[in-house]
Amino acid sequence: MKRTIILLLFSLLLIVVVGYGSVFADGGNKTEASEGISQEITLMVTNLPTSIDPLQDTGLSALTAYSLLYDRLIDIDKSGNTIPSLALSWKPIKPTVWRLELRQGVFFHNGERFNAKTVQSVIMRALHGTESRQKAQISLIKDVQIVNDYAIDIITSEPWSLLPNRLSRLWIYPTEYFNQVGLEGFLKKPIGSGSYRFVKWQQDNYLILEKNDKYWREQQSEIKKITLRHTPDMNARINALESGEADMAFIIDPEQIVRLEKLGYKTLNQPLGQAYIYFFRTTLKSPVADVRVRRAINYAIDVDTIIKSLFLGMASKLEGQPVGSDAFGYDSSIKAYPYDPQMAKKLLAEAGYPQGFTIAFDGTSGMAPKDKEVAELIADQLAQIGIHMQINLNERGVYLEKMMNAKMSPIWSISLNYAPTMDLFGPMNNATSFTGHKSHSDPAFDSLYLRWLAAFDQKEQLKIGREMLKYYHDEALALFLWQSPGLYSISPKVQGIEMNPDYTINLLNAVVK
Amino acid sequence: MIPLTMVGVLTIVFFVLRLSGDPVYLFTTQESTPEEIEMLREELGFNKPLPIQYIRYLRRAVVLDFGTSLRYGEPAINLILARWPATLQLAVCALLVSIAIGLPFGAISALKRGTIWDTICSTITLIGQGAPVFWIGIMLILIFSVRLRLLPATGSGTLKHLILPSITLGAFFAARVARISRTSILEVMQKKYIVTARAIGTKELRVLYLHVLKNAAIAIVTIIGLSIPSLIGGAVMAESIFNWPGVAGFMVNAVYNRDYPVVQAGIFILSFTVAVTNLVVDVLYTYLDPQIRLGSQKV
Repeated sequence: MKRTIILLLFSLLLIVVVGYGSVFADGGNKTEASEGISQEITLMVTNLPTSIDPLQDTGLSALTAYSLLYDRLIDIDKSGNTIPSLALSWKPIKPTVWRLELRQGVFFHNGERFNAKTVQSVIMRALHGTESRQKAQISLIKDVQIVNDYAIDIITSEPWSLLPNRLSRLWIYPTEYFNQVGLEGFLKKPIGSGSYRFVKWQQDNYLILEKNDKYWREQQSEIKKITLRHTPDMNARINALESGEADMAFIIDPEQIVRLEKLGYKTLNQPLGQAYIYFFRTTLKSPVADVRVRRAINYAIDVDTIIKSLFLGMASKLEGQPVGSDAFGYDSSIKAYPYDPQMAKKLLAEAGYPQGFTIAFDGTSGMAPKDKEVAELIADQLAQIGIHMQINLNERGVYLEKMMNAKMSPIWSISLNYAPTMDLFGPMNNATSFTGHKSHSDPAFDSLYLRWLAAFDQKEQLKIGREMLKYYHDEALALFLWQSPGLYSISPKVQGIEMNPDYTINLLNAVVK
Repeated sequence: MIPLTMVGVLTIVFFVLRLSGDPVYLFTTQESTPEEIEMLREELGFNKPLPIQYIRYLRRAVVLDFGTSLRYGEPAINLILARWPATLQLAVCALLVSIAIGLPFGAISALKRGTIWDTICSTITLIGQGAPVFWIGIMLILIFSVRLRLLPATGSGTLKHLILPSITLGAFFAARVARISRTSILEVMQKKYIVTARAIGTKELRVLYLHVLKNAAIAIVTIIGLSIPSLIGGAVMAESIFNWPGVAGFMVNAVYNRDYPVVQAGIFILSFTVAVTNLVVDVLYTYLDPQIRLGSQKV
């Protein structure tokens, strides 16, 4: 009896130890899987999509995987311009109707043909599907009408000039296949038209893709197989790179980049489409309600020195506007406020604060790169002109709750997202009175914003956009800091990988040497 | 007792989670309007009064329905159960490592008391107890993955992947097992029946196996049993260092994202495991010491 119990217990332990090995076999073990295959890479990404269904994850970090597996109607280039992808051209034929001409001869990985019906079904599910998280992004779309097999009309509830940029959020999948297998079947075997097709995945663990030899673009990648591994911890990403298990590690701290460079690893520095700024709440009764104080704060902060000391020079400074040069509408004539503490003191005195003042700040710790250290350095530099900034660091949930309920302090930090649409919409919308945080309210700016939204002519849109950016700068609505750094470390044997500001990846020139 | 414990755990988790704030904001964008936020709140079921949410939650928990993950859009219990085997696998391996190292070290230390062997074993034990899990993990990665490239630093799937995380997690508990084994063996060795056994000429090995180790086992089994919840807790660190796809790291992220259904399902499964483990330890007592009877005092 005793022996039986011991045997039973031992067998149970043995089953647990070895039994689940096959269940969790990730296939991403490069050293074992890559024998004999040269053109194969493993990428340590910060996050895999929460769902392989492209309508379910709207986060930026999902876009690396989506951009390999799927195509979208419209792509965005590195200057924020909309460029053709599955849609060849687009134009407004009425204020509330956009006509899209679609590409012919595109097939999904299962052989299904891409056409107008596909686009109509994807947009309708994005708008009305219970699982869709895209609803808010395209909520102004009312209907999609098929003009012919390769042309559609998108009808909006009001004039919407930004529709092409919004469509860059929508990844296209074969709808006949989807209807046939249902969501459950699709999640087991997702199909796209992208340069890589699905092999295997496990949520929050790995995604394995192989080259789509029948890809519709002429230029094709040399890389035959890609493994993306979900690795939220930066040190784990670095360890995998250094141990030879991975070829590229996403989002690495500057200090580690310097160390890895000394070991021979290459660095890809592609700032993200996120502007890190300190917003001023001009709607509150506080010193920052006065534009002279807001300008004084901009003059008082030595952004270059902070970038040099905290990011070792590896961040891209914002030029006095809440977007970088990668956004459509960026104005190169606007320049950053220079570092001039004397001017800052002069402006403070003019505003009636010759001795300075004490003011509260709401920030975060760990939500943006080095956010806590940045707050401390900025507080230190402000103290030199007599402004005592009281730092209050918030947990993520509390921070978001405060933001959406207009409970932020007079100064608060934010990573203002303008990716993946790479336009002025996010930053401008946040300066209107239509947002939840109510940082700024000026009917003149609101009306400028609404005119901009309705401007279909690109020249007119650019002109109004520049007016808004000038207003942003002159009114010093924020302390303009930098774009969130996008630092990637790559094995010396891999060449030609390109990243975009919206986390999408381009492997067309990539090769393993 | 187990059902009562589970209701208590579920209740505490439900209310403590709600103290952390409104999860709806984690699903909004910087441009979301109040109307959109309200719509989302209704869609996620957070617009109902708290007592109604609580009753609905308990009713569903009976059939293991903890709702749909706010982040993944899939049943929370499925997400937890899919990751549970990986954590269990890691915890069991770490436990085996801790027994394999701790028990011989404790025994040597006790049997060779006051000798150099005792000093060596006690020193190693002290290091194991004092070194933080993350430090051991990083050191092992540096030596075996980065420098020697013998073992993988991240991931899962093969027995090779299990080695470093198991040693990392098991090292701390090995020290605990060694300490308790040493004390317990020394205590048993003072007993009169051991002196008698030796006096009647029983062979030393027979004394050790039949009388010392068996009687010392109760304390050792107790500490191993009590270590299981800590092992699962310690798995958070090991899973993070080695990118192990288990439930512990997943739950930490769920807490961070206020993914209530996932946290609730996870805590339910973990608590249930701990309760069952305690029951198994109690049952083992009766096997190790026939004088102990379940439900009554020692007779």
